[in-house]
Amino acid sequence: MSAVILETRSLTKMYRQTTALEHIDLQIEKGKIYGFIGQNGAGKTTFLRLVTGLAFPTSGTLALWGKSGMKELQEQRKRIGCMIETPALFPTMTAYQNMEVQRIQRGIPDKQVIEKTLELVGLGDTGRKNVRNFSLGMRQRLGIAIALLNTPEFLILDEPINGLDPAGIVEVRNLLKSLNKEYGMTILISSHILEELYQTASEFILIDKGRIIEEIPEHELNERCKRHIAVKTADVQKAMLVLEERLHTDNFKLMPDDTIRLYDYLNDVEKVAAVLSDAHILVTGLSISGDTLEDYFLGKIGGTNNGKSPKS
Amino acid sequence: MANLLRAEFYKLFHSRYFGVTGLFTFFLSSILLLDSNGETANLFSASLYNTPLLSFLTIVFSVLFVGNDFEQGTLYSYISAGHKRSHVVFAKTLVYEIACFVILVFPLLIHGLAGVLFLDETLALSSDVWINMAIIALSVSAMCMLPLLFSFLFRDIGRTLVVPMVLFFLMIFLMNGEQAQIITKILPMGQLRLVSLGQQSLQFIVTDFLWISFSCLGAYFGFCFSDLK
Repeated sequence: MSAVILETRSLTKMYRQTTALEHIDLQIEKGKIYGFIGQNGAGKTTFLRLVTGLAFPTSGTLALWGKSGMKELQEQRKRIGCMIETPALFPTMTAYQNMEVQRIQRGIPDKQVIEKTLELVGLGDTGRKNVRNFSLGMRQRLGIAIALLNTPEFLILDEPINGLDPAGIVEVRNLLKSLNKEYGMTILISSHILEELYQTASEFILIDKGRIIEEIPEHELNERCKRHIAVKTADVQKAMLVLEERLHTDNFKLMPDDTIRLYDYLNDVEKVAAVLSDAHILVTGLSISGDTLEDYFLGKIGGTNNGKSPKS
Repeated sequence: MANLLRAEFYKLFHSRYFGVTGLFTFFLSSILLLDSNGETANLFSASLYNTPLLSFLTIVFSVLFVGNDFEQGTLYSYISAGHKRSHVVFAKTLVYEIACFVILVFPLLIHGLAGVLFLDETLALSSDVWINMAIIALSVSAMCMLPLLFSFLFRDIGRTLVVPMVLFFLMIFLMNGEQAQIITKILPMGQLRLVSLGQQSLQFIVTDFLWISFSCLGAYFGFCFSDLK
């Protein structure tokens, strides 16, 4: 059994009348990369703030490496590296000076670690340029460098690829994967770019309205994001009726964008097209495709319109 | 704790705020000397007479040194790195107070020295030089604690600037009002003015101590038990 890095039990956070997190039970195991998925305001950042000690839980417990006392938690947080929301940087200082402040406060004796980490994130040649003159992507890289400065056992990154160009996104992805592989670093990434998360994480945590709606490993997600025939038509209701009556299947789903996903007849697309055509239904699109993580997530939380349940 | 203090001093010396605020304070203090000419016994006292007016620059400094830290989220990195919140408050307060002390006392020393060298003055304010120095040190510290308190309570730039500024002008107004005799003895900036006019009292030490203690407690409770955004 894997060692547990982070464990929460019935963790709840309320802000006056608003419940930001509700009874979160979660385990983060050593050596895995977790993707933390949720809409804006779902409670992702609140959860990360509780883990990093920036906010206090209203109720419930939180344990890091099995320690849950206040003093013990503080001690364990020394083993964490994090970047929550935007990188915390001093705009009038250089990248090196920003790193130096962090090196000093963390009590890291080796000064060379700064240059090594800056090289690692591709900021080795910024020289005397102040951070205020950095692009968004460069700031993001520096934020990641600061999080990595102490070679943490548990790395928490909130939206780490915001502002990065495509090449930068690939670099960060490869970096995270290699850190996970070489050092066994446990990583928790929250991101809106779900396709990117899909390529990086090995476990997924879906959160919505302050509740964990699902924890799912990559292989299981792949299984669930199964292949289907995507049917696009203006007359959705009639098309669904035809599928049920003439193809004798109810193994389809209506998506929020009015696309019908048919999970049967994958090897007989022509038959599906013929049946719809015979029923005088104008089909504007018919193709075989698979669920993306985005689709899966939207399906789980009820599409883009909150509260609207997808047909299953 | 030592690491936090070292990090704070590093930030202080590598930001331009400290040097620029210090030089501007010295420049403004030198100009204001013209205003206090004849009111006080020597150049040191004349400079001290104007120190309360210069305290608005420490408000600006608190915004840049502390408020900015909250606004950028840089102070929070200490907490997520496992430092105790009380240690963060202590380190920030100590370094801020030392910086403010240097900003406000540096012009006093230069002007006092100029008086000795060029005007044949003596630096002594009265027979109790050491008591006066202690009162000045405590009053300056107490005066600077107010902006720091609001920095920790508001944890932003806007309110950290506006509220202490409003209070600054309010205190100046009260020091010139009907109750000036009492108010001046209570407010640290008033005490500095009284010291510059040779009207010091040991009671000032007690009131300054209370100002500092309450401000420290306010900063501690405002920061240590709050959610940080």
